Amino acid sequence: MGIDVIFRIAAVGLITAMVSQILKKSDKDEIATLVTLVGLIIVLLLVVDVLSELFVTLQSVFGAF
Amino acid sequence: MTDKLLMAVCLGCLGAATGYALCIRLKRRAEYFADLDDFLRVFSESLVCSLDTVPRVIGDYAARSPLLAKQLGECREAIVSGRPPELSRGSLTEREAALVREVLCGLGSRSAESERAAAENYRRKIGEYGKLAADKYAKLGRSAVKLGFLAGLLAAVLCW
Repeated sequence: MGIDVIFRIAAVGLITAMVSQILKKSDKDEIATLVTLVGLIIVLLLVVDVLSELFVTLQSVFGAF
Repeated sequence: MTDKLLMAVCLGCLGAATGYALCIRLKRRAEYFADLDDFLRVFSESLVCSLDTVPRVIGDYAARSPLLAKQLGECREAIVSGRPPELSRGSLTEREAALVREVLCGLGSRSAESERAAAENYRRKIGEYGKLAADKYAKLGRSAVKLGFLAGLLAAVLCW
């Protein structure tokens, strides 16, 4: 964890954007959309642990359960 | 750190190589149809089209596509030995292979005039397949290497 995940998200975003652009230029718009969606899902999977940690911290800070 | 960088480079290269292989495959398909069309043109232009002269016409034709060269060789052998030809399929789809089988197996089985008409008819059909293959190569073939490289990099980022 740490700054690693931010760099990883940035790399996934960059690569997904490039792949999407290449596919759009090749008239494969529907696959480009699919690739963007897959990129989003990958990023969500990367941050899901961090998000769950955030919610646990918030619960403990505000005393909610 | 070094081993991870090496892994990223290796995965990138692997992806690029896969993309290049796909690009070559698409290019060969496009070349194959252009070559087959050229062969049919040469065949219909040859003065005598009978079963006896077909092996000679096939032998004289210098195919540029490796798959067509192989198929013509198989067809020639089959005609000489009198068996039905078993043609290699290569990267052709089932429909394309069936059409090619129909084209090559029918060589020399008609009279010269109907042979020419059949060759023209087949050239039209093959031209359609050839156009599709060339379009696919133009659209996807050139970006396949880039896409493969980026897919390899994405895999490296996810394995990091």
